[in-house]
Amino acid sequence: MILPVWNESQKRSALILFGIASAGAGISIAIGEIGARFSKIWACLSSFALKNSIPTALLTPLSMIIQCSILIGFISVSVMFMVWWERKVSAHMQNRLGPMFTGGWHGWAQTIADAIKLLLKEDIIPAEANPWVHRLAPIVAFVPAFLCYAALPFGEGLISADLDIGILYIFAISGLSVLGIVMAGWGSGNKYSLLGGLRAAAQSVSYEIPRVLSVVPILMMVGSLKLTSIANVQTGFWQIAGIPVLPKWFIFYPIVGQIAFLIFLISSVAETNRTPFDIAEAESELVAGFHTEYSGMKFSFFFLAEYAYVFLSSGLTTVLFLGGGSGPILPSWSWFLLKSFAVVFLFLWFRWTFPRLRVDRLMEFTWKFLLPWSFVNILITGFILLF
Amino acid sequence: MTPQEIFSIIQAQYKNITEIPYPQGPHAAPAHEGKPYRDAHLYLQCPSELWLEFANFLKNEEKLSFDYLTFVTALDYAKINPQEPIRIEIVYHLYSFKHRHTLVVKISLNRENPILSSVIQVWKASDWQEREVYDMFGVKFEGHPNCSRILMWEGFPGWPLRKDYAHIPDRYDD
Amino acid sequence: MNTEIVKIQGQDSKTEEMILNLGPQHPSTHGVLRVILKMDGEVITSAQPDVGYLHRGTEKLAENRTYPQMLVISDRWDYLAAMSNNLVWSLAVEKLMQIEVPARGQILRVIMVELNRIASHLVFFGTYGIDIGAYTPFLYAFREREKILDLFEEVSGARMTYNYIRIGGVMADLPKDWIGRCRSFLEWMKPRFVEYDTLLTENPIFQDRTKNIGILPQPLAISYGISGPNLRGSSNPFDLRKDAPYCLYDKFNFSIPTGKNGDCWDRYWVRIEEMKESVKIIEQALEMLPEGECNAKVPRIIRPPIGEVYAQIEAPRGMLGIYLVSDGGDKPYRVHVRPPSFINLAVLQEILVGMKVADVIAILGSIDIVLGEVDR
Repeated sequence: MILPVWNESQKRSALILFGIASAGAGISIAIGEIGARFSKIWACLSSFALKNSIPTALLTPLSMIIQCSILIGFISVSVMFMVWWERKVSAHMQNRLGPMFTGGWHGWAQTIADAIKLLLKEDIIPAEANPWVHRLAPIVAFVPAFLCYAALPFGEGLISADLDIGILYIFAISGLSVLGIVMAGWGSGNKYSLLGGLRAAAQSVSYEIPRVLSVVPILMMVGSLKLTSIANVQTGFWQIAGIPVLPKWFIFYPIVGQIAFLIFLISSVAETNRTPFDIAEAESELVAGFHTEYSGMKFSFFFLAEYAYVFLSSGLTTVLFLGGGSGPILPSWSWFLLKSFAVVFLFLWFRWTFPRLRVDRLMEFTWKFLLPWSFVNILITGFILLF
Repeated sequence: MTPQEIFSIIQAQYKNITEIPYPQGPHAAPAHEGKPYRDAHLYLQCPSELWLEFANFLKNEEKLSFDYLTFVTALDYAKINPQEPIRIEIVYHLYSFKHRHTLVVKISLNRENPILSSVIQVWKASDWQEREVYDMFGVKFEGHPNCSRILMWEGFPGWPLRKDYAHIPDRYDD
Repeated sequence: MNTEIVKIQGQDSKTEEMILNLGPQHPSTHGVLRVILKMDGEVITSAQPDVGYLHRGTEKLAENRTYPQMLVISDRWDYLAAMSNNLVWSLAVEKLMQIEVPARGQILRVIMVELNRIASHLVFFGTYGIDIGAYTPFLYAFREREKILDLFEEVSGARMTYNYIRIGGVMADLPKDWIGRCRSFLEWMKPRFVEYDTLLTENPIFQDRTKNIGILPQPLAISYGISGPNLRGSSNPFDLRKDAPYCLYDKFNFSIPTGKNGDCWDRYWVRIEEMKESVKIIEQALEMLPEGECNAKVPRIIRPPIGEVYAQIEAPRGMLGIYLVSDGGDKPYRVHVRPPSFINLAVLQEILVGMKVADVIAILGSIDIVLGEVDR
């Protein structure tokens, strides 16, 4: 292991990073709980509307529009950040630097530049393709991610739609993205894209099952499908003689928590088609990926969709296993973001460390390993709950 | 096994296969006494009709067991010196893993219509190398399942490595 | 865990053969190589490599170049291991002219060739990782290779086509302090092997994709004329450095790594072990480097006597040989290069049959070809 021997510039960068981190912490503490502030702002707005006799029927769609815009804004900014972050993280793992130039400091504007470039590219629809399927596929791939973000609790009171069946809704809707992939593969009119799309679809569908089943023990222990309840159960610390030792996160629950976390994490990596499970979009494989025939804006939609799903999976992992928003000092939304981005970092780390699994081994892995273990996990949880 | 021993085993079986003598040099080069040089293996001359049978013998005979074909190439003796007859000579360089000895077999063919039987059934290494000899010299190998050009493109005119090859201008010449 | 392919019998199960072109432009073919694959579903029924995209006619060019001029062309056969190509050409001409290179020249040659072996195997390691899907080891391998190329640049002035090993010795003696830098490189290199082992060799996903894939049985390998790490991976410990030593290799103490099963992982493992052996050889060479002249007396115009010679060395890709026929003039009469990559590639026609499409890249990568040598 190469231990850090800090030279001058490294010490300076460490100081800068520490400065940014503490500034960020300070600002988030100063802002406080956004949820409470948003509720106050909304109460002001509605009383203002009532005073000026604006019909209340207008208020609900207005609130939905505002919430949707905030969500879309958040997704776009976080995806841009994640793309840049992935390039930097992968670069430093590979002994190089990554984007350094665009925008000045460490190439922070690289993703914006790439997005503009993709927008300006020519939109090619292959002659063999079915134009409507070809056009709709990226939309069908992306929209379910956005729908799921509505049910994700970003902190206290920061949830767009606090459904009673929250987790079931998220799993159901995110499963729709498979349809987008199949449409992309078939609508490209290219037999290799079709094969790639079918492989991706088979992989997504197979890995959904252990993903859902690994969450069942959590649901058994909480007794509800509501995401905010799941997050709230995990507040607080287990104490030994009055000293808080371990936060009450599901990941720390003996055996069941760890198995469930691992199965959920692996299945999420497979669901989002990231290495080591990225057989569908790998460049150095024989059969070209399902999004080869896409250029310009449509390609950027697939790209956006992939990173949106990555953040969604990380957010779900945080809410289900890592306490999602619970923590001392900092407000709940900053804890949620910190934990989610830590899991995103795990996703990035996996991609640049592991080689790719072969397609049939990938399928064997889920059907013959992950699925039985998730059943065993449910059994163990049942026993624990009984006694 | 020494070259003499190998040659005696071969002579016992095939009388027509002769040893190629060490080169004498009428055109002795000025560098270091001008003594001609050849590697210290056994060099044999084999008539083209006998080649396939001889190849099988070389591989299967216990004391010889030449199981490794190092290379196959050809030599166009059109210009080397006036004493040598004009011919194309195919050179097979063989090695034995069991006995660790080497053998070189040369087969002379006439330049107008060079045909030789392929030894692909004996050593599979001759598959692509014989195709290369065909590609470069125009030697047809009978019994080769796919005797076609390998390095040049299909339909390339001429046999490049022959000494009388003149380049025919094609679409790549501007 | 093995997957079985179940063929359902029925009147209307008509399977067509699909022809897939692993075209000349592909990220994984290590150059311009085209492989025409006929597939029945996922299983390959026939594989025909189509070579010749990089053919530059060096054997014809050789007939119009003097012997020292051919050194420049020889660099470009296996461009990843140019020192070996220079060495084999120099050995052929020196054998023909009965020139004896002094000991310092020979040891310098050994150092350069072994360093080049490490560089070439590092490229194999990196690109094989990319083929399998691991993108990071490639950059670590190239970081090491940069250090070797810096050493070569100091010694010969070039990073890829060195033209350093000349007829009669080497181009020039070592620059000041080169030995110190070489030693520090070797010290840097030794812990890297542990890193590579953790990243790829012992990685279960990598082993899953390369073990028991592309098994090359030894009789088939001998019949196809395979040489180098491919043959050693099929458990035949044949290495020219031990069997027919050239350049004072018999004075060095090193072992020959041999694989057991002849699958892709064995060939990969043999190359990693060879890198470690090369480090040992270079250390011993640096110890025993004698003082004195490094070049022999070579006439200004090289006119070998009449005759023919075949010289071969153990290049990183296999057994590289030159068959040289001289007619007494200053230009060769006939030069034939025995290219290990060309001959090793022919076996692809046979071991790909019956394999699945996903394994093609792994098998092709494990044979480690360089198109410059395949096509000359």
